[in-house]
Amino acid sequence: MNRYFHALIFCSLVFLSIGRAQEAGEEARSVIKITPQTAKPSVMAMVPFDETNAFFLNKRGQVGVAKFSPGLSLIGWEYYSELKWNAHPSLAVGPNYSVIMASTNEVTQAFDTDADVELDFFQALIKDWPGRDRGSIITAGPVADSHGRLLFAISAPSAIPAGEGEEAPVEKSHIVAWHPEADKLVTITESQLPIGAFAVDRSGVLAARLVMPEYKGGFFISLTELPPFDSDAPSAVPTSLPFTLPSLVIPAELTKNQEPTELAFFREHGRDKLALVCPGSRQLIEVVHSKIADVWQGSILLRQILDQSIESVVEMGPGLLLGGGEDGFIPLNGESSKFRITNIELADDGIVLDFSDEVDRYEASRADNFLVQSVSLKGGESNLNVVPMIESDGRTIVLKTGTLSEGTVIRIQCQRLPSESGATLLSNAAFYTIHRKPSPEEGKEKADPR
Amino acid sequence: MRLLVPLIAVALSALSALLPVQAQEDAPVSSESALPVGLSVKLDISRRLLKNFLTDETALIPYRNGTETPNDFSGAFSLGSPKARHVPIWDPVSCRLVGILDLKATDSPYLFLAEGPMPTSRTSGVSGEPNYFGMRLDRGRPEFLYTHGPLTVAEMIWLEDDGEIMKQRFSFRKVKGDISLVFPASWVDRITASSGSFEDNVLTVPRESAAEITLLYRLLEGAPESDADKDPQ
Repeated sequence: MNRYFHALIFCSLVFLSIGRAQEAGEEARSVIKITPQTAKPSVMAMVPFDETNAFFLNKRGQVGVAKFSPGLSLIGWEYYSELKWNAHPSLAVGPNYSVIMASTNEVTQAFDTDADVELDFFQALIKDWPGRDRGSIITAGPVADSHGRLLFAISAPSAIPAGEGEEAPVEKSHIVAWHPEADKLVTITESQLPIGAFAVDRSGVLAARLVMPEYKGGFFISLTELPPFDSDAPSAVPTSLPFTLPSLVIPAELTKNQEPTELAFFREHGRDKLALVCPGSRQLIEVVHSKIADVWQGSILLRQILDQSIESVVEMGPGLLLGGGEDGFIPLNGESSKFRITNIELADDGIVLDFSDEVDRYEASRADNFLVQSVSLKGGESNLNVVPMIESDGRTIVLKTGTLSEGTVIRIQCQRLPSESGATLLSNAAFYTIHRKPSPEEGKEKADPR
Repeated sequence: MRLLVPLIAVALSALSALLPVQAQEDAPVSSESALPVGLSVKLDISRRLLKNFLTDETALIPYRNGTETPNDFSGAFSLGSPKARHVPIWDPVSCRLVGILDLKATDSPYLFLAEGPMPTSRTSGVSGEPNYFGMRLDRGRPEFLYTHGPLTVAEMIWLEDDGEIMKQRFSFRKVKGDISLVFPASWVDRITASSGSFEDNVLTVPRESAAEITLLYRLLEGAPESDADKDPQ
């Protein structure tokens, strides 16, 4: 079956129906031609099953399969199921091209049992979890991790009434893991805030979007490492449970006050990054995260302003991002050609800014073109004195600010800083959250990733 | 990496749970043929959140949560069609047909509302809550798979004749005795069963016919059982 499905992948405009017939000792392959489609599917979620094929979920909850060129141009798409499923915008791929999706009360695995390229069996894979009897529901997921587990987020259950004189325990949201060989769900992280979406990278770093609607200044992203997984003891409860704390605040200023919804890890220029989509403002936000003294922090940058709104983003291949929205699939190939800040790092006595193109050296050398503010996570802010220094390649500026404080968000505004060719910055504001300062060795290493 | 290879075991176990329903030890006798066969309606199946519309206290028990307001149907299957005025709704929490909407009704939109205990509850040896484990599609018709006590049940629902007729097929396997199915008393006159006999609102089907029991619901009052019975004039 897999062999035949792969035949689909490599046959342009031909969509495979897995045949069972025998002919001359070999199985015959029946095919369905993909009709050239003028209609674009709405795309609320995607999951690739290789670098040029992906399953997707449309806004009506139907599952489709789409084929792309290596450059991520859409070749064609077909429904994989026309059933309308009230699923969260997240999909995972199971064995034999089964598709896993989740709604508030069920994780469902859908199979094509008769190999006719249509999902026909929908197994209620998970219907129970801790706190379900007290109203806990699935809020995000499923997401597959590198250990073959399915992860999904559940809301905090209603509190058990406390006895007289006792304090009611604070119930928390969780991300739980399901493994086929485990006899129970394993809680892998907990959070005081509800989890609206999350992603996991290859190395087990979890990024979760935390829901805190009453805070208007920005949007919380938590970065934690998942506890280690022992394949010999898949039901083992982690000895230490990571707590999903807000690691980064995506400033509302950068998203035009629109909430980021879905997020995806990707790798570019040897760095792991996180992309976040803001459908309301068509902004694509990029987080370049780093771990310093066991705490995750990093820079928050505007990566792209899109022509169309997208609801979801996935990495199809290294550095190859694909967006999906009401207008179908949108390749986000490579970096934006716009002049922009591509990274921020901390140095011993300041900040290192990387740019996508050479800066105008005259403007870049003027201190009054930079406004650097240190905003304390506990409240209060101050402006920092800046002495800019331009690296010889013209693409890096070191802003000497003196010692930076931990527990702050650094806001950098490049007030008038064109590129050497006169292009204006995509966004003149960029941010860095500092929980811990790097040691001198770390700082040197970070400042020069080469 | 994205392929959850360990899930293969689960996939296979899921299919092994499914297959006995398809290939039963007691070879099913096609009891559907005992009923008139109308023109099948292509169903538009969706799973959705619906406000709980049940009114019967016994039928509401699976949705009670300690408050006055019962839980809503969080993942009910809605089986509609642009051609049909009726929309059967089957809910996996109570594992039953909870209602049939009449989209053209001028007063209450609920043509049928579940009442009393679930249909299989009167069968000898059956107790406790049912447990839904999946749904499969067979020629566009949904077949809901669940267990209730010792019973393994496959329940298929579809519409015929522009939605004037609804059919519900129960398939039981490895049954040890007769099957008793209970229905809302007000509907007994509008249901025809492929086998068994009604006593009040309980249909009793002999064990040997339990592999396939088809019920025909006349959704339009006074409607013939099939197009074949209609007056051509």
